[in-house]
Amino acid sequence: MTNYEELFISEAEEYLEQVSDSILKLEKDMNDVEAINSIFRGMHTIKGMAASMGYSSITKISHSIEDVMDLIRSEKLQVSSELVDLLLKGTDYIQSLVHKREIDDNIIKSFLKVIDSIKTGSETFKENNQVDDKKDRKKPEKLSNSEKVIKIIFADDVVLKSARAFVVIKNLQDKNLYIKSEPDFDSIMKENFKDEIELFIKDTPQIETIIEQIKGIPEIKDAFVLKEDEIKKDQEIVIEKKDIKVSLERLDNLQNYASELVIARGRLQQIAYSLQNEELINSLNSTSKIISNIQDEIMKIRMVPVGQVFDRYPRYIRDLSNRFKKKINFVIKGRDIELDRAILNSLADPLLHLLKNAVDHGIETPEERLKNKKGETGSIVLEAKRVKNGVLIIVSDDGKGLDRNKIIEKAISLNLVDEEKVQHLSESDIYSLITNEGFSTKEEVNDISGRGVGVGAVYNVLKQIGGTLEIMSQKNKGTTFTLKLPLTLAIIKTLIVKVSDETYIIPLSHIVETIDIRKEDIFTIMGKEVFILRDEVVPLVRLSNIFKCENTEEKEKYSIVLVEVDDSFYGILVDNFMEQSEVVVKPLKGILSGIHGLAGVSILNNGMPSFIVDVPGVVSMAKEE
Amino acid sequence: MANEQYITFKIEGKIYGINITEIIDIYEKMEGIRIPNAENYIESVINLRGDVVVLISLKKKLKIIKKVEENYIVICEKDKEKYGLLVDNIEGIINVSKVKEEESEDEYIKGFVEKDGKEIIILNLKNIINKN
Repeated sequence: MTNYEELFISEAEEYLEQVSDSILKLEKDMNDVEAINSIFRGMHTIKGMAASMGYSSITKISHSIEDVMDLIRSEKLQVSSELVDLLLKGTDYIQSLVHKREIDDNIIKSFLKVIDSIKTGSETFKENNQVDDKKDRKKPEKLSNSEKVIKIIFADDVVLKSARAFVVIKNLQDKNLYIKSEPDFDSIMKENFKDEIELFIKDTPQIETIIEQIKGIPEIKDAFVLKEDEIKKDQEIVIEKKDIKVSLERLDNLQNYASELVIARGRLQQIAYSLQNEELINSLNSTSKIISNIQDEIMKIRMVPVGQVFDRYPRYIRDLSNRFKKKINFVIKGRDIELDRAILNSLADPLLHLLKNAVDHGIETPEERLKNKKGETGSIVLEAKRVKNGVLIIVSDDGKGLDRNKIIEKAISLNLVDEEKVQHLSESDIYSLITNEGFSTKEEVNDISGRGVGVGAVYNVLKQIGGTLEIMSQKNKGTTFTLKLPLTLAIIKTLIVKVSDETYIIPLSHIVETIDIRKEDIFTIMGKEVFILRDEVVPLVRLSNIFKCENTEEKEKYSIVLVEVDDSFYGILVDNFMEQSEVVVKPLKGILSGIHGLAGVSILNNGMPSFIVDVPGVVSMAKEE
Repeated sequence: MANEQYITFKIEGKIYGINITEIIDIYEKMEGIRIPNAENYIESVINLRGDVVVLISLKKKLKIIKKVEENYIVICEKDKEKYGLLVDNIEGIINVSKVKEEESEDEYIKGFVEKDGKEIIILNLKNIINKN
C-alpha cells in the first residue's frame, strides 16, 4: 500500500466516523443544524479526497449525499428516518470501498438512483413553491453590497512586508473602513503570508483614491478591488486543525529510542560515579532529568482518548437495537479519558461483546419493560473514569439483570463450585462464575444466564493486559461490568527468535544489529567460539547451549543478534529470526523467579507463552561456561 | 467430627488426594513450553486463559518412575500464584472424617486415609510447591 493510500484510508475513516456520528445525532433531532452541516462538510471532504485518488465510486456516492445534505440545509428536503437509513447505507458503502472491499456496481447504481429520485422529488417540490429561492441560497458567502475586497500584491523581496501591510490597515482603520483581512491580522503581523493579502473594507466612494494611496506606498507592486467572482468561496470549509498525524511506526521508534536513552543514561551514570568527577555527575544529573521528561512525554503521546474507540459503538447499538426490536438510549461518558493506545485497542472487541450482550440479553423488549413497570426505553451507559493508578471502564444497563440462581445451578452442574462452597461466595464472586470457559462455550448459556457469550473472552483479554473484571447485577434493575485497567502497560519492542524448536524473545533495547553468518565464519579461540565482524573479534553466545536445548543440530547458516553489554559486543547465536513484535512483559514469579538467563515471560500472538531472554544474564553465563 | 473432602487422582497406579479447598480447577493436559535451566520437576509453563501457569511433574517431585503419560492438570494456588500438578487420571471426590496424620519421612506426604479398602495418600501441597 502506498503512503498516499494509507493516509487516505486513515483520514477517510476519521471523516466517516464524524459523519456517521452526526447522522445518528440527526436521527435523534431531525432539525439539528450542526449535524446537517457536519455531514455535508464531511462528505464534501471525502468527495475531494476520493476524487484526488481517482476513486470514482466513492466520489459519486459522497457527491450524491453531499447534494442531499445541501437540499436539507436549504430546507428543500425534510429529514425522515428513511432518509437517515439511506445516509447510513451510503456511509457503509463508502466505508467498504475505502477498505477496498468490492461492491457490486448495480448496488451502487440503485443507491444513486434512489438518491436521484429524492433530489428530483425535492426539485419539483421547490419549483412549485419557492421559485426564486435557489440563487440566493447557493451562495452563502455572497458579499453584501456594502463590502469590497482590496487585493494587495507586494513586490518581490520586500523587507518588512508586515510593516507595509500594517500601514495600509492602520490607514483604513483610521478612516473607519476596515472590516477584516485574509489572512487574519495576527498572521499578517507575523508575516505568515506570501506576497498577497486581501483586505475587506466597507464600500466607499473614495475607493479609487484609497487604491491610489496604497499603490503609492513603496514596495507595493499592485493594489486593486476584486470583482465578486474572484472572491474565495470555500472559506466556509476552513477547519482549524491543532493536531497532526504521525505514523504509529515513527511513534514506536521514538519510544524505543527513548528507552534506549534511559539504558544509556544508566551506563553513563555508572561511569560518572566510578570516576567521582563532580562536574560530570552534576551535568549528568540535569541531562538525566531531561531524559525522564522526554520519556514521560512519549508515554503521554501513546495515550489516546477512549472516545476513539467508544465512538464506534453508537452506530452498532443502533443497528443491534433495531434488529432485536428494542428501544435503547445509549450514553457515552468520559470519552476524553486517556488510555495507552495498546490497551485501548485490545479493548475494542471485548467492549463490543459486552455491549452486544447488554442489547441482546440485558435490555428487555418494550412490552416486557412496560410489564415490569419500567420505561419503554432501556438505557445502556458506557463510561470511562479515572481512578487512582488506573482507569475504570463501566458498561451498565438497566435491563433484567443476571439470574443468580441459574448461574449457581449451572456452575454446580459444570463442577465449577460445589454446593457448600457457594454459600461462602460473595455476590460478585457468583456473577464472576460466568467468566469461566464452561459458561462461554456452551450454547444453552444464552437461555440460562442470559449472558456468557464472550464474557470469558473479555476476562481473558483483561488478564493479559493486567486488568480485572467485576460484575454486579440486580434482578430487574440491571447489570454492571466494571473493567479496571492499568494506565500503561509494560510493553517492550522485541525480536522473536527460534532456537532449535523453541521460541525466545530478545528485547530490542539490547540489540545493536542482526547478522546472518555461515558455519565457516565461526572460530574457536581459547576454547570460546567467536566470529569476526568488521575486523573485530566478537564472542559468540550459543543460546541453544545456554538454554540446554534438545534437538539441536549443526547447521550451515546461523543468525546472530549482535548485542551490547557493558560496552562490549556479543553475538547471540540463534537459528532464525521470526519477527519483531511488541509484547507485554509478565514478571517471573514464585517458582520461576531467579532462573538464570530469563527476564520475564510473555504470551505470543499464537497463544503460546515464550520467555524473554535476560541478555546480560546469558552473556555472563556464557563467560562462565 | 468435621467431614473433609478430598479430590483423588491416580499416579502410576496409586491413589493420591488433595484437600478440595486447595484446588481451583481441573483441566485436561495442554501443551506448554519447556523452562530452560529450571529444576527438573518443573515440567513446563502453559497459557491458562491469559495466565502463565507452571506445571509441576508430581512423578519427578515424588520420585516415581514414569511409565504412562499424564492426562490431567490439577490447578491449585500458592501465594496468589497458580500452579498445575500433572496427574494420570482423576478418581473422584471422597468424604473422610479424619486424616491419619502419620510421622512420614516424606515431607511431601501429609498422611494416609483408607476408603473402601483402598489406601489414599494425602499430599502436602505447601511443601510440593516450593522452590527447592
